[in-house]
Amino acid sequence: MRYEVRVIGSAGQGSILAAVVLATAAAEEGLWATQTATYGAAMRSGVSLGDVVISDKPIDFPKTTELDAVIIQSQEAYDDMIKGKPVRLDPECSEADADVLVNVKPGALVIVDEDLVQCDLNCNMYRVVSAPIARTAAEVLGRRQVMNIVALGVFQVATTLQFEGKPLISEESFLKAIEKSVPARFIDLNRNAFMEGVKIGKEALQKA
Amino acid sequence: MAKLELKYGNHACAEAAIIAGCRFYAGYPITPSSEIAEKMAELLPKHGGVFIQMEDEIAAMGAVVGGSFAGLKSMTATSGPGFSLKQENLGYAFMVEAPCVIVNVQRGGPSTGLPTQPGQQEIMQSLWGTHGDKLIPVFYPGNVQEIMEETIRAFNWAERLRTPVVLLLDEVLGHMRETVDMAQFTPDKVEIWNRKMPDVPPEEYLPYKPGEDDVPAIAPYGTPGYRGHATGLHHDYTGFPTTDPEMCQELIDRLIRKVKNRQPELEKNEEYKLDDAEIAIVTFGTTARAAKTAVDLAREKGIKAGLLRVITIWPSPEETLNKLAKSVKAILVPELNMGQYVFEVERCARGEAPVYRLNRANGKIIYPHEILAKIEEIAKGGK
Repeated sequence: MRYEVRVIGSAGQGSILAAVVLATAAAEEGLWATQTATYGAAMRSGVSLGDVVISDKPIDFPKTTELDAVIIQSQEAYDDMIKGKPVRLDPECSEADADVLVNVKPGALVIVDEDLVQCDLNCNMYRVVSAPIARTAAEVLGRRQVMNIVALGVFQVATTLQFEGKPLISEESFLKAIEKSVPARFIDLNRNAFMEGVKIGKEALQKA
Repeated sequence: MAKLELKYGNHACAEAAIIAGCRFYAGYPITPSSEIAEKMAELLPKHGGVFIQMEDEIAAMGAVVGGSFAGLKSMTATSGPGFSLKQENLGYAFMVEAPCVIVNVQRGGPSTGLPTQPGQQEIMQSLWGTHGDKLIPVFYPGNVQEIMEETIRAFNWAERLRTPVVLLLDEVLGHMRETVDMAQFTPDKVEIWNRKMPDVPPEEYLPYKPGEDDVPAIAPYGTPGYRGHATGLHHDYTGFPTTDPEMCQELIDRLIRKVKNRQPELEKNEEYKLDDAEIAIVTFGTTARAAKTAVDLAREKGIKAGLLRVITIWPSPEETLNKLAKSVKAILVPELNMGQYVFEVERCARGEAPVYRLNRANGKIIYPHEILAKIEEIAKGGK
């Protein structure tokens, strides 16, 4: 089993931290993981991404080549994934000329923020899960900054679509990973953010 | 039982240095190696050690030699331009036999080059960068687990042979987080070697008189009664300069011989599917990880490919490479430079098999499908 995930968003949205938490959770689960990022400074502007490869055995090639899942946190990140092809608004998910994501496998999980990302993806080609991620972070948790961790909650649930009803990584492993990855005073906030993500993830799956 | 933890490559290097017994770090931060210094600054005070940031890389390497002569296991880490600056004192460390570890997290060069992107351009410089003849061990791990193993091995050999040891990483390895089995690094599992101490009374002590193993037992500076002198000039057993031709030749012969004679013990490679291989890939570090995947992809297409991943880069595995050349139809050496280790592979192959290259120096890593394409080309009889 080799499973590749990308967390991509705008500078400051915590995409790399989310990737680190995800890779840490994989290790907690007893899986092997590599986490890489395009190294550079993107705190104020530009697209930032963190990649994770997960496997049940030690990993040879550590970088991603064909993604099994992508978490898209902003419009510019989406545009980056379709390599600049203009976004057309088409809620019907028409098959003929829908957007294609670069280096993403057919059947891959695509998690998008339903308020921040307008997308026109072929619903037959990808398993698209759209949820109010940033809104939940801002309104339920009072901190928009934790949207990256809310997104991980959605991801955790959504992987059940790919692994016969079971998630790739358990809630417990994610919660432990959060404890290891964020400063002590933010642990509760982030644990709550993750669980809210799980909740809206379940709602999104029921809708879909 | 395995204890899996996610570790950052550069941090793993620092943590392993502490396990190996390193208690002195002098450095000057430079991308992509800075996180090693950062972690050592955090860890050393907690372990009774000393961290010092010097004014530049030249001074840092000088301080490492001093720390080593004071008796502490010492290290520095740097990258690209910083590695060039360290060369003079690296040569000095070789000449005065100061055990130390120099980590070079390779980025794209030459000059300031590509600070945030990987390269493998110091394969030759790690051995030949300083003036004069030299032979030192150079190790190059391929994953984060191995960064820990090779850091400890580097300290062990530095101490046992009283020599500088270079540990090569690359930007991808240094900046990658990866699962490590920490159960392998508990005190009962890790072997630690320390430098030998003089076993003669002070009045008989000659700091540069070698033992049967070609290694002198030099007392740490400040040891009561044991007076020492170190110089980069050719020196005799007292450590004071000499121009006596026999003594000078004996010194250089010994400095090289003490490493060369240990080549079989120092040699470390990973062999992957080489038993029936017709095309062998020889490479190291991050590029070897792409090569391993490429071997599997080639075999799916019916091409018998295999991989020799070299971990001890210098002294090179001369006989292993020669035997390999005799057993295969062709060798491919992909590396993130314009062709460096390929010269050594060609030398060791002694014409037994054609040696092909795959080179790049633009900051981008080599992907498995690119190596596969080259293998297919070679298999078809092209180049």
